[in-house]
Amino acid sequence: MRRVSLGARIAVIAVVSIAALATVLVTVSEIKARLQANRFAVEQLASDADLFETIRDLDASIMRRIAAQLARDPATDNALVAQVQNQLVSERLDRIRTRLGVPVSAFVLDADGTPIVQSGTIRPASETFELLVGLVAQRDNPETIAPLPSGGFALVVADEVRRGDRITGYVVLASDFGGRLQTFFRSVEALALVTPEGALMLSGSQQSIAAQVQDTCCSGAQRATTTGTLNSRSFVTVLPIVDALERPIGELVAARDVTNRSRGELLVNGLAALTIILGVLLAVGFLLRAVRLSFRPLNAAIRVLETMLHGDLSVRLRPITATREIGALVEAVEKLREGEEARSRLMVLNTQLAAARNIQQSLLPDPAYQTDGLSIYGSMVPAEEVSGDFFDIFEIDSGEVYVLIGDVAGKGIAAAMFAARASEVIRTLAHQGGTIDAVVAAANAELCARNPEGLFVSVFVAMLSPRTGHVRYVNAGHCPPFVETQPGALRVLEPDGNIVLGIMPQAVYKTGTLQMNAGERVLIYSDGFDESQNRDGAFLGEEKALHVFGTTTGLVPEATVGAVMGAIRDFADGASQSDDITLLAFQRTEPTNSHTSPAH
Amino acid sequence: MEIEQTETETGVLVVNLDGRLDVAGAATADMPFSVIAGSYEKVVVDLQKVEFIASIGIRVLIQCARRLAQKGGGMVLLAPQETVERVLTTTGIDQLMPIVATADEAHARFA
Repeated sequence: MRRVSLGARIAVIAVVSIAALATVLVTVSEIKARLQANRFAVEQLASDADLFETIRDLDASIMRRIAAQLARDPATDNALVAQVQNQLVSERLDRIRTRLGVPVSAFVLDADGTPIVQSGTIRPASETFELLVGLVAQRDNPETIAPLPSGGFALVVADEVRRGDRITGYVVLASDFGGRLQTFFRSVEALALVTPEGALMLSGSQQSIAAQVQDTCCSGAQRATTTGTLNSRSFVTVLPIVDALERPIGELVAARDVTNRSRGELLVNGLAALTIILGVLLAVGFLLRAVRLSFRPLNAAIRVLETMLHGDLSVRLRPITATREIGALVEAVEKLREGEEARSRLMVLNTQLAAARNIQQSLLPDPAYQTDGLSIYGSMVPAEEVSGDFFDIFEIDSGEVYVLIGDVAGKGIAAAMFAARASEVIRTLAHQGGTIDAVVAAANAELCARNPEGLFVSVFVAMLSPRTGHVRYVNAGHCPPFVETQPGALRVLEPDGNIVLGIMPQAVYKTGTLQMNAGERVLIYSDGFDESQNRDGAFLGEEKALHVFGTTTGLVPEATVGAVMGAIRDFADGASQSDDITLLAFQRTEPTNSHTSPAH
Repeated sequence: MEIEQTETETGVLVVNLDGRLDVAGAATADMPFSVIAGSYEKVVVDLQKVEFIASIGIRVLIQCARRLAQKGGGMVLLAPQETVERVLTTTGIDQLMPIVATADEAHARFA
């Protein structure tokens, strides 16, 4: 599985969040722009509608005034009588045409609404005349906008011609309203008049715009839309055109080119987008930098861990400034490294301890010693890797056998080394011969001489004669051995008050003696035996220790040692061994060649 | 292991020990006895309340006693319990540090 770095993940999250934020901002500004556009559309539409109404009212009022003049003019009446066009009518029409700047037509109708005189090219349909004639009775100066059969619309007004109270005819004026609109809507790109039947382009050429509104024509409602393509955008207002009866008859469509303005907006929008993108990039950059800076200590921690994996514990983490979490992590890593370093030092130490243990074990003699008349067995169980206890069994040139047990105060390597030295010193001196007390005294002097640690060792040294069963011993501060003379007859070989070795260079050592008969047994031991503790911390004690020895009656030395070790384990009842335990048992056996040996 | 030190008018330091002078007790007592060895000459160690003494505990006392002896002073052990006294006599260190039964005897040693 590919692992994504935390930094990258944070960067992705940041980019997404910032992009989302940017989208929201753009959307908000888009909505604002749209609202503004809508407001603009409403304003534009209102303004167009105002213009439209103004033109209509203005033209209508001019035309009404002239229509009224015509209606009162006798020439009109004459014309009605003569039913011919006369000069006066033409002149008046020319004046209106000049005023409005668009074609105007004039009609004189008889009382039935039938045109009898007509002038000009604008020809409204007959329904328009009927509509106006109908309206004259209801209101003064009726006017309407009417579709022209030729396309477009005409503004049409009417007035009645009276003779006395009697209406003898009507004067109707029609102007080209589309042409008028064109002069006022000059600024537009395209202007069209649209009816359900078709569109009349007044100016411009964007037929498509007119065609677009054709389908929805003549609903009678004002509206504004935006049309166009990417390259050209138009803003279109649609104004309804209604006749005098408020019936929608067509629409005025005005299109304004807003392409450039759109371009401006696009440019502004583009700049805004660019700014946002730059902002996002900058923010991401800063964020990445911040993330990288915060994670730099993490990388250092990772490097330390990696080097630790390769077994190198020497790379330390410098104290760094970091965020709380990373700081804690880095601290933890440093502690871990220190712990690992300590552990690895401990492992080295343990390796050394194991080596020391091997050396120490190799210094111990063969645990079992058998010779004619004597059986010996020794065992040492260290509490830790190495022991401050030792024992030895060796024969000297005279045929006598030395057995000894030593116990150095303290534990650990220093004690073990001192034990090894003491063992070696005693063995060497013993082999040189001399009385046992002299050997011990010389060993003491030797051990006092070079003893910077102030260590000392208690020893029980015995010189056994396998032939005679005679035992000479020196107890230098050691626990008193147990002796079994008869089965069940136990005694303690009381100490002689000799001081331990290593403290008093001039110390003198008293010798004790013992005569062993066949079957007699002696157990010498270190204080790991009588001071062994159970789970409650209670000591076994010398008395019980002696009792334990008593239970081994009839056993040979090896079995005795095994049984006592077992009893210690039973007493400890699972409690960890707090001190080294050394046991050495020896027994006088019946010499096989007793007939050649003296009794004692 | 609790250690209490009292200096008498005659300049003798009485050290009261309370507890077991085993491996842990010896570790606790090691430093105070080093300081004592450097600061005093005549020291009485009251062992009445010591229930147990291991060889490592003896070593703490011996190291102190040897340094005191080098300065011409010494250490006296006061009123050890029976089991403790047996260990002290067995190891023979009573040759180095006299064992006395009463405080008066102890002070008499330094008189």
